[in-house]
Amino acid sequence: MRSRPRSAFLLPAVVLTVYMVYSLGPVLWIALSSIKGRQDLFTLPPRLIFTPDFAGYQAVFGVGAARDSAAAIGLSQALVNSIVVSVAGTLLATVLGTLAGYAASRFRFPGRDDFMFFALSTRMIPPTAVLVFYHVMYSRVGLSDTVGGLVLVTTFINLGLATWIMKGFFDGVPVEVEAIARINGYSRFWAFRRLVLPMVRGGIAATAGFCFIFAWNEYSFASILATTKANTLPVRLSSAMGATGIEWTQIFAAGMVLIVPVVVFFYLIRRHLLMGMTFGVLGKGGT
Amino acid sequence: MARVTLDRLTMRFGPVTAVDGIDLEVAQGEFVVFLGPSGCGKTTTLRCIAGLETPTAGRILFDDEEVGGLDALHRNVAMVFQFVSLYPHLTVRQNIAFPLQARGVGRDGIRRKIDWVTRIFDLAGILDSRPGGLPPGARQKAALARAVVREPRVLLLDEPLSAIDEQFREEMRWELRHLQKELGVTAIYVTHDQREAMSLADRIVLMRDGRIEQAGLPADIFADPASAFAGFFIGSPAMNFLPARREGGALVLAGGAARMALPAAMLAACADAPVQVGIRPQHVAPGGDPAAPGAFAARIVGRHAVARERWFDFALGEFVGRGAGTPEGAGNEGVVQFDLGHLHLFTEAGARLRPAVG
Amino acid sequence: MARDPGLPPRRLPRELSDRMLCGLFVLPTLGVLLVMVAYPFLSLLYYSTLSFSLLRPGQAPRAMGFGNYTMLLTDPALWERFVFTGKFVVLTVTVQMLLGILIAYFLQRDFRGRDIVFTLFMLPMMLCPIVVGFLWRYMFNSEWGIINVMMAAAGLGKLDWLGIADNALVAVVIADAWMWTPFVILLATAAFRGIPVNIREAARIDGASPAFVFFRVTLPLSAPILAIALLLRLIDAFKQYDLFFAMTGGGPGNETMTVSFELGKIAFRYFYTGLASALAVLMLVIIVGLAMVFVRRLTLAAEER
Repeated sequence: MRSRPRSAFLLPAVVLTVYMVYSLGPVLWIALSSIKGRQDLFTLPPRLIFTPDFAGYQAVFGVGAARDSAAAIGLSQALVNSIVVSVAGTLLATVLGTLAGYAASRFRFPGRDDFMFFALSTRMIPPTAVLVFYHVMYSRVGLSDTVGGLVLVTTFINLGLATWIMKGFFDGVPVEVEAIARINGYSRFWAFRRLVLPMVRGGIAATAGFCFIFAWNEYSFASILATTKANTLPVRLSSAMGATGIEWTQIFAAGMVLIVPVVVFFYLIRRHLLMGMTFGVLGKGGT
Repeated sequence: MARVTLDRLTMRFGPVTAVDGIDLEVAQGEFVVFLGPSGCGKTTTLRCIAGLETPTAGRILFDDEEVGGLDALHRNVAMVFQFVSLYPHLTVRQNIAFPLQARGVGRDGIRRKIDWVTRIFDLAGILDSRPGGLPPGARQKAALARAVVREPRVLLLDEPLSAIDEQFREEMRWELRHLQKELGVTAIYVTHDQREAMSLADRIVLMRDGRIEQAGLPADIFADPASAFAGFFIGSPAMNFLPARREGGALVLAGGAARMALPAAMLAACADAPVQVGIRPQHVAPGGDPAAPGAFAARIVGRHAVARERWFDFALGEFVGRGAGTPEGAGNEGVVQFDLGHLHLFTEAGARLRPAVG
Repeated sequence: MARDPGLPPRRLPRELSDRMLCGLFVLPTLGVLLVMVAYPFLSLLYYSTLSFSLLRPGQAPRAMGFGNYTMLLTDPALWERFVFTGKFVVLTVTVQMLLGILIAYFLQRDFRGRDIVFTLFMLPMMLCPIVVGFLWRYMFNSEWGIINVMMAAAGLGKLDWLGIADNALVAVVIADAWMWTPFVILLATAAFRGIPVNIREAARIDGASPAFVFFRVTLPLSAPILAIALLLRLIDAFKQYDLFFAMTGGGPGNETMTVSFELGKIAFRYFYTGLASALAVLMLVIIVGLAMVFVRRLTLAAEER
C-alpha cells in the first residue's frame, strides 16, 4: 500500500469530502435553522452567527411562550402514541419476522419461495394504494383513529423486511446446531430457543433497529388512519404548516428531536447492522 | 524465476513481534519449505515476500532488486492460499486467464498459455466448471495452474494442501514437487506438517517465535538437529528426551533409573548442570545385552502396530519413551538398546550440546 | 434434514412436531400478510369495478365493469403521471446507486475516523421523511434558500428550483438521493465486506489494478446484494410520496405529481373510491410484476453459482 502514488489517496479523499458536504451540510443546516429566530431564518445572506432562539424547541416541548402551539409535542398524546406504536410495531414485526425467517431458513414447506416473495411485496405496496382499502376496513371494524389500528399497520409495513433479514441471519447458523441438540434428545423448539436464538441476537437487534427507524418516521399511513386522537409525531408535525403558514423552526426543531431515538437505536445496533444487510446472500456460494 | 533474499526482515503487529530479523537466501529454482508451529511467523514472512504485508524493518530482494516498496500487484509473485482463493463467479478457464488479462496479455497469448497449463495440470475436464462444484483437490490444482500460468518470479504456497484428503494430498505433493522442478520456478512453501516438509523441500527452514531455528536439508535436520525444538519438531514419532545428570564418568538418566557410560568427548560437553538426552525412537531397539554400552533394563509398557511399522513404549523410572521394533515375549520386563551414534545432548533449555571436536 | 433411520418409532412424532413448528412459525406472519395485503388487494379488485365514494356511504355503489380502468388508461394526464414517476425513479435510483457504491468503495480503505464518518453518513436516512421534505424545500427556496445563495455567490445565478417542473424534478431527486444514498452505502459496504479476504489478496497478487479488481471481482461478487439494494430502492422510489408532498405539493400545477400522489388525491381529496381502487390495482400490478421478474432473475443468477 505504501508505494501507491499519491493520487490514489487524493481521489477518495476528494470524493469523500464532496459527499460529506452534500450529506452533512443539510444536517448542519437543519440543526442551525432549528435554533434561528423567525427574523434570522429568512435573512440574506443566511447568517451563520446569530443569537440562538429556542422558540422552536419550546414549541415542540410545549413550554414557555409556545405552550399552546399547534405543533407542540411536549408530553402530548402524540408522543405517547408514537412511542406505543413504534415500540409495539417494532416488537411485533421483529418477533413474527424472526419466527417466519427461521421457518423459511430451515423448513422446505410448500410455497416457501412464494411466501418469501409475498413477504417482500409488503414493501412494494405504495401506501396510497392500500390506504383506500384500509380506510374502509378500519372504519368498518372500528379501528379508525385507534392506536391498535396503527400498531397493526406498523407491524405490517416492517414484517416483510424483518422476515428477509432474519432469514439471512438464520441461514448463517449451521444446521448442525439443531442436529446435535436433537441427537442429544432435545426438541427442535428447545434448540431454536436455547441455541439458535442466542446465536442470532445481533441479527434480531439489527432487524429491530431497522423496523424502528421505519416505524418511528412513518407518515403516510398514520396521516390518513390516525387523524386526531391516535395521531403520531410526524402527523402532528405536519400540522405545523397550519393556517399561519409553515412554522419552519418548529418543524426543524421537531426533526432534531425526532431523530434522537433513531440515532440512539442505530448506535446500539451498529455492530450488527452490516451483517444483517447481506440477507444471507453471501457466504453461501461454492467456496 | 528469481533468487530471493531476506535481509533482517522484521514484522511487528503492535507489541507483538511476528518476524524477528530473519536473514535468508533462497536460490533460483530452489524449493524451500517454511516449517513451524502456528504463530511462529512463517505465514507472515510469506505474506511479506508476497507484498501483502509491509515489513516493519528489513529488506526483501528478488535477484538484486529491492522489492520491499512494491505492492503485491507489481511484484509478479504468485500465491496459492490455504483456503481456496479461486474467483467463485468465474470458470476455471476464466480464473486462469484472470492474471493474464490483468496484465494485458492478448487473446492469442492467453489461449496458448491456457493450453499449456491445461496440459501440465491435466485440467481439460474441468476448464469450464465453476470452482464451487469441484472437489478440493481439483480446485487447488486449478489454483496452482492460475499461479504458474504467468510464470511468476516466485511461487508462494501457504499450506495449499491442508484442505485436501490425506490420500490425495500425498499424490499432490509428488506432483507439485515434480512440476516445480520441471518449471524451474523458485518456490516457498509454508506448512506446519513436518512430513509434508520432509517430502517436498530442497531445504527446510524451521521457524520458532519469529526466528529461524535451523535451516538445512531435511535429512540433515533429521540427523543433526540444532536444538531440542528442532529434534522434537522433525521426525515421527517424536524424539525421546530423557532428563539426565553427569555423575563421574557416566550420565544418570531419568532421576537415577539408569546409568549410561558415554564417550569422554560427549561427557565433556555437559557441564554439571542437568541435561536432556535426545534419541529418536528409530534409534531405540528392544532386547540385547543389558550390560552393553547404551543398554538398560526397562519396563515395556506398550506395543503399537501402525501398518508395517512396529513401535513400543518403555519406562525408565518416571520417564516413558518410545522405541522401534517388537520386544520379545509379552512380559513387562525387557531391555532397551540406545544407538549411541545417534544420541544428542541438549541443555535443559533446549540448546544443543556438541562434543568438542579433535 | 437428516433423520435417524435406526429409530422408526420416534420418527413420526418428531416429523409431525417439525411440521407443526413450521406452521406455528409461519402462520402469524402469513395471517398478517393475508389480512393486510391479499384481502385488501382482492377487495380493491372488487371496488375497482364499482363507482362509489366513501363520502357517500348511503349511495349504493354502481357496477362499472372495466369502466374505471378504461377511464384511467385513456386519460393522457395519467400517462403523464406515469412518465413523470418513471423519470423520477430512474434518475434518483441511478444517482443513489452509483453514488452509494462509489462512497462504499472508498470507505473500504481503513483510515482514522472511518467508523465515525460512516455513522455520520447514515444520518439523513434517519430523519423523518416529512421533515426532510421541508428541509429541502427551505434550502431550495428561490429567494433566501441557501442553495441559491451559494449558487449566486459562485456566479451561477439563482434558479427557480421548485417553481419549474424540470427543476423541481431535479430538486426532489437531489433530496431523495440525499436521504437514501446512505441505504445503498450500507448495503454496498456489507456486500464488499462479505467478499473473502483471500479473494481480494489473490487478485492483488495476480497483478490486477484496483479498477480491474473492482469491475472483474468485487462488483460481480457483490451483485446479489447490490441487486437487492436496487430492488428496494426502485420500489421505494416508485412509492415516494412524502418528499413530493412536502417539497412541491405536486406543483407547479400537477407537473410533479407522481402516480402515488395522484392516487392519494383521487382517493382522499376527491374521494372517487372506485376510481382510486382501479388505479391502486394498476400500480400494484406494475410494481409486483416488475419485482417478480427481478426476483426471478436474481434467483436464477444465484442458482447458476
